[in-house]
Parts: sequence; C-alpha cells; structure tokens
Amino acid sequence: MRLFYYPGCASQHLARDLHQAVEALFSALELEIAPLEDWNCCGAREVAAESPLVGLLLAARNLALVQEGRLIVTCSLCYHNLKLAEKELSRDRESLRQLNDLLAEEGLSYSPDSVRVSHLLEFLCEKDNLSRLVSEVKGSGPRTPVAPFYGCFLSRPFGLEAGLMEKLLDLSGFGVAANPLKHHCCGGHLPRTDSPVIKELCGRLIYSAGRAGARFLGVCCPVCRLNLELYGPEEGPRVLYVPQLLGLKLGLPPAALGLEDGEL
Amino acid sequence: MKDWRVFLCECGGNIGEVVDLSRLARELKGKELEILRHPFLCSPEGQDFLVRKSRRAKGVLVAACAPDLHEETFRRLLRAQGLERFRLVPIREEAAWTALSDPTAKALRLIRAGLAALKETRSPPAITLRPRPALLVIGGGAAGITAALKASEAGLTVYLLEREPFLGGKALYLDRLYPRLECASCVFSPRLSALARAERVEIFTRARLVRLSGLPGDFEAEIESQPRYVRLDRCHGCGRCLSVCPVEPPAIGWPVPHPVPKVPVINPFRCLRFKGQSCRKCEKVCPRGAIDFEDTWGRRTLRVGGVIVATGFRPYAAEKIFHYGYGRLPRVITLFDLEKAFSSGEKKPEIFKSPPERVTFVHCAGSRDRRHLPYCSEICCGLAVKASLRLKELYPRAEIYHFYQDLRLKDPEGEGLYHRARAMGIRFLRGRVAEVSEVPWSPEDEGRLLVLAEDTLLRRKMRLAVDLVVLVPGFVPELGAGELASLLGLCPGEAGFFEPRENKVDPAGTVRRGIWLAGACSGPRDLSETVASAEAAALEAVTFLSRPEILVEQSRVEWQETRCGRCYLCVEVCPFKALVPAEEGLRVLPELCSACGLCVSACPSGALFLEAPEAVFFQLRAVLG
Repeated sequence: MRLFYYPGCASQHLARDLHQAVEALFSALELEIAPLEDWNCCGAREVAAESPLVGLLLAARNLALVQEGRLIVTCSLCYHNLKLAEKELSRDRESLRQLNDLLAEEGLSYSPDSVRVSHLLEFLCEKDNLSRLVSEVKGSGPRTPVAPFYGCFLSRPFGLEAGLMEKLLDLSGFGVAANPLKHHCCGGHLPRTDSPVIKELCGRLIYSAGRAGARFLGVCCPVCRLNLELYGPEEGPRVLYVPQLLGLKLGLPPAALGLEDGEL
Repeated sequence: MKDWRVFLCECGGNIGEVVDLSRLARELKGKELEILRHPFLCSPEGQDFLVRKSRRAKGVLVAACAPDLHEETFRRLLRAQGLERFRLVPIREEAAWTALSDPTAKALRLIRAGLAALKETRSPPAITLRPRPALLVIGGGAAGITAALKASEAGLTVYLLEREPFLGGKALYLDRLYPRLECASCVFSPRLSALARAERVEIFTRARLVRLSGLPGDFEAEIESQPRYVRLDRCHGCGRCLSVCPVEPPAIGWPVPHPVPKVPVINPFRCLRFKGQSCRKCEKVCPRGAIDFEDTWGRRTLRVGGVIVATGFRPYAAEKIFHYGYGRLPRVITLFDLEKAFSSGEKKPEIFKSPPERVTFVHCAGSRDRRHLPYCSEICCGLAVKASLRLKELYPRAEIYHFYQDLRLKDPEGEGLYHRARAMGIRFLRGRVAEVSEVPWSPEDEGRLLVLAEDTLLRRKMRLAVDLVVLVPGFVPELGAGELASLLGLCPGEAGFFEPRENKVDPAGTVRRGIWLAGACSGPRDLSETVASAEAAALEAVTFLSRPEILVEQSRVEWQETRCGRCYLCVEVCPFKALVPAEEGLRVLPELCSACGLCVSACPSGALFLEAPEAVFFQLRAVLG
C-alpha cells in the first residue's frame, strides 16, 4: 500500500509547527510516508464562491497525484474537502468524467476506487500503527490531563469514528479530560468578518476544557488552534496539536515538534 | 341475450375525466356483454340503475372505486335479487388516480381481467357462525379499561390482558388533566374501581398474547402469564405483608398510585427467598395464605369472538436526542418524569430539592425532526402548558420559559389555558432549542444549565442559565406493538401506530374482521380522545358479537387422498390449526381455514388445492395478455 501525506497550505505558514510535528511523528514511528509531490490547495473555504466543480477539481488533482494508495491528512478542512471530492466523485460519474478530461491535460487521471482519504487520527488508530505508537512511548510520566477537541469538520458531515483522539491520548500516557464541547464550532472563518461572536465561542471552549481539569486542549486543525489561541482567554489550558502531544510522549525534543522553549 | 353486464361509474369526474369511458365501452363490446354507464353508481339513483339494469344477468362487473368503500353496497343489492356472481374492479384507485401514461389502457386490462375472473368464479361457500359473546381486550390502560367496562355492561364476557402487574397504564401517572386542570385520579380512579367490581370481567395481569387463531366470531387466543407469587383469588389486599418485608425498599408491594387489582406483587430479583435465603415473613403474616412462592409461568387458551387492541403509546426515548443531555445531565428531565413526580403526591419531589429559579420547557423534543420523529404528536403542547401551570403554583417565584414551534392547544378551553399561563408570567418563545449544556456561557453561571435557542419571532439569540430543563418528547407506539401487529396481522403505519380500516368513517375497525383498535395504539391521543375511541371500539365489538349469526365467506382447501403422501407438513405449517390428521388421512376444518394457502405451497406432492386461485390465474392471464 502506497502511503502519502498531504500537508495542506497551512503547513507552509500558519501551521508550520503542525507540519513539523507530523513529520517527526512519522519518523519516530518509522512509518514510511512521503509527502505528496506537487500537491496543491484543497480549495479551502474560499472556493465555495465558485462553481462546485472548481473545488472538486482542486481536490481531485491531489487525489489523482496519488494514483493508487492512501492519502493521509491532518488539517480538518483539507480532510473535509478531499473527503467530499472522494464521496461526490464516486457517486457523480458525469462530474468525474469532466474533471478527468481536464486532468488529462497534465497527464493525470483520478479513479475513486483506487485512492482512499484518511485522517491522521484514523490512520494512527489502526491496529499496527497503534501498537507501534504504544511500544514507542517513553517513560511513564504523570498522566497530564488533556481535553480532546475535534471541531466541526472532523464531526460533520464526514464524522470520524467516535473516540479516536481519546484513544490516542490515553494510550500515549495522557489523562483524558471529558470535554462535552468537543464537537462544537471554534468560529471558523469568523475573524475575517470581524464578528464579536468568535470571542464568546472560543472563550466557552477553553472554559469547558478548564472546568474539566485539562492542562492542554488537543486539536488537529490549524484554524481551530489559531482561533482558540487568539480569541480564547489568556488563562486556562494551552492549545496544542495532537501530533505535538504524542511526539512529547515519544521523547522527541520540543524543538523538533515546532514547540518553542518555555511554551510548555 | 347479453348475459354479462359491465357497469362503468364516472365517479363525478374522478374516473370520467381521466379514463376515456367511451373508448372502454367500444373496446369491451361483445356478443354476450352489455356495457352501461352512470355518473354516480353509488348514489340512490345509481343504485336503482344498477338493480334495474342487472335483471336476468348471469354476472355483474362494476368498475368503480376501491372495494373497501362500496363493494358491500353493490353486493347486497345484487344478492337481494339472487345474483351471486359479482366483481368490483377499482379503476378509480388503480387506473384513474395512479396510472402514469395511459389510464384507459390500464382500466381496460383490469376490467378484462375482472371479467375473466368473474366468469370462472364460483361463489365461495359461506358458513354461518354463532359469534361467541366473549371479548379479549389487550392492554389494561385507559382505553382497555373503558372498552372492557362498556363491553361487559352490554353483556359480553371480557378477558382483560395487561402486561404490567397493575391496571391503569399511563393514566395512573397523570396529575392534572388538560385543559381544565381537574384532578386526574379523581376522574380516573372511579373507572378502575368500577372495573374491579364489574361482572363478567376476568383480569389477567403480567400476561401477554402468544397466539391467535380461528375466525372472526370464534377466535382461539393463547395467553402466557408471568408469576406474581401472590394469589389473586385469595389476597384481600390488607397489605400486612408490605410492612414485614426486611428488604428496603420492600420486595413485595404495589408500587403504583392506585393498585388494581389490589394484590401485591413480589419482585423475585429483590426477594431474599429467591436469593436462596429462608425468609418467609410475608407468607407467615398473610391471613389468607395468598403468598405462593411456587407460582410459575402459566398458559391458558381462551375462546373469544373478537379482540380489542388497546396497547397504547409511550413517550419517545429522549436519551436519543444527544444534544439535549437527557440521562447525562441530572437536571434535565422529561415531562413524564415531572408528571410522575407530581402524581406521586409528595409535596417536594426529589428533583426539586431546592426551588428552581428558572425552568425551561423544550417542546417538540425529537418531534417534527427527520432524525427522530418526523411527525407532530399533537397532545404534548397541552400537557406541557398544563404542567408548567402546576409548577408555577408550586413555585410562584420561578421564571418559566416555553420554547415551542407551534402551540397546538385543542379544545376551546386550550386557548384559555394559554392566556392563563401568560397572565401568570409564563413566557412563550418560538424557536427550537439548539443545545442544553452543563458548560455555561459565562463562568458566573457555573452550576446551572445553559439553554441555547433562537427566538425566531424576534430574530434574537437566547442564552439562558436555567435550573431545570423539562423536555417534551412526542409519542411512539408502546413496546411490543410490532410483535403484536405480526401476531394479529394488523397494519402498522409508517410511525408504527396501527392503521385503522378507514381513518374517518371506520376508525375502530382494522383490516381484520373481529379485531378493533382502541385508544392511543393508533396514534397519540389524550385521555378524552382515548375514552371516546375505546367506547367506539366497544360498540363495534358489541354490535358484531351480539348478532345471532354471522356469515363467513371462505374458499376451502381441497384434499386429494390419492396424491397425499401423509407427511403432514401441511398440519405443521397451518397457522390456523385448520388441518388435522384423521382416520382417512387429513381433515380440513372449514370454520378455521382462512384460505391463506400456506399448506398448498408446502405440500410436496401437490395434494392440496385452493379454489380461489383458479380465478386468480384467469385474472393474471388476462392482465398479462
């Protein structure tokens, strides 16, 4: 099975630390996963203003680059867009034909049956990878409580199987703080509209993690982290990416996980 | 001589404007066939026409509406003049209303098929039966009790079957009644007492139906009962056993507000005696020797003429609406928890340890929602407004909010109740509640519940910190309704409630003759509607079962001795026990046979025949051309 990793645009600026942590995690677990060569933007939210085919084309090009195998995604929005293309195009043969005509100009072609999109959490929770992770956990330090946070795009419409993040955190030696708001919205792209709502949303999310006794809030999505850090209260649990948290338990140096000194 | 007549009904424009009747007449025209046409064959004038024009005919085919509606009308008219060969072809439902491309062609085929069947049909043998003046009522709630009382007053013997140890169903847990707020138990308990006194009523508690066979007018019902460990025939309800039980809370008791029958029941999962200990305190103290630890499961077969189904409804499981937190958050309750707390008679029930300052009623919890109940249960709005008034009486300082979608308050007095609630300061906000959460919006409300909703009239978001959330779920059929439906051959609708034969003009009847519906098993109903529908069902049953005789038409199974290999597979598969092994080989009991045909298809040597299918084959051949 060919495995590829899709970094997504955020890995180049906003979430360079997430990108670093994921790569470090893969090498620590000795997983041979190459970043997808020549990948392009998944379409993000902006593309929604265009015809649906534009978004599908952007996503389908990435899937076509895989040719055959699995594409592993970390960013929630990338996951949503790629999954959407996967679902839509396996159903809508007419759109698939149109897109394949366009992709053919580059010598590419996409067949929905040969490429599978998985989220990093799903991938890590598969039996082999999970046992690898467990055997690589170094030491048995205190079980620092972490509150899981999935956000919108890992919950709907293509929700992940329940409890993946909890499973990873628990098995890598963290305590799991029950977070009733783990599937709530962080505000998404509201900062661009300068809406006052986002402050309340993020404040409540951080508060929820805090009242559950968490020291960290584990997220997967760059936008969630950005919003929670910018609009959440100063005090309360720190927001970290789940791959960073897992990397810490594997004994990786914080710098390799994109964490600055003193950030913990 | 044109011996066969076809009557084409125009049904106003229903058929006439869609199906080209002149073309039909042209195409059907034949030597022996006379085609007649009428705008309304069911009208008195049309009926005269039918009688006049069918004189000296060999057989009559009427192409009109569904047989459910007028088959009986026409058959009677024709039978009165000695004409037995009659067939009704529903070209209105099957062609005019439903055919997509060419309704006339479809009608033509259907009529041809009908004619083929008509010419080949012999009228089925009919037997006359004396209906047994006995009635089985399934379900001992408000509907079952009412039906049982009415039927016994009219002279029928009634067997009342209840799954729980006590009668009363959901009505036992009502506190006040909509819309006049009268005390529910004052209204309802006299009925229970009347039932306890009633003659010719035999009550089976902790019992269920396991088999029903036979014919309308003479059913055989097998019932199974769970042990009660206290004998109904000996106990006189002194209650001494309750006080001596060493278990806390007692393992023997009557844990309902109005126990009928007033005979306690032992819970074998708590009783020490069933845990291998030697405690016999209740047995020793009982002056009547009614305690019976050796009581076992029992079966009994009853012969009854008819069955009334009164299995009722239950509230939708609010746990399934995850974002409302029922079962997860301690101060989220349902309306029925609240009603139960009120009716338990305690002044300050457990859930109100401290007086609530702010209470929210969440209407339509799960209702009108395609993920839960896609329908409106109609009665819950009234129940919620009623309960909030009671709450306001208890806690006058509490702020009460109703989040509703549409307030559906029936009866002229319903509107008055609403105004009364408004006058008392209860607030009504239109909008669906998005979320009930233990995480407050702002930290100073920690410890209270957060209700997020939108006031869709003011287009305003609402965030309320509240102390109690009352969910108002809709209604679903009672557990086991599906099994009962397959046992009795009833039709459950999309939501699982039993479908009456005809909603408006035959709401108590079912597709099976001799089985009627009472109360909320055919849709959510409040107490007054339940009682009315139970009385209607009782009336149907009484009318049917007090006829001196009823005519049961049936096609019989024929057995050919020379072909039969005596394997008796047919006896095994017959659900009606209409086949029995006999000296000569096999005997068919025509009064039990319902012509279902299972034995015919099971017989490996083709020794069994049904008469009716011959006509069906002719019909199929004509339809398929």
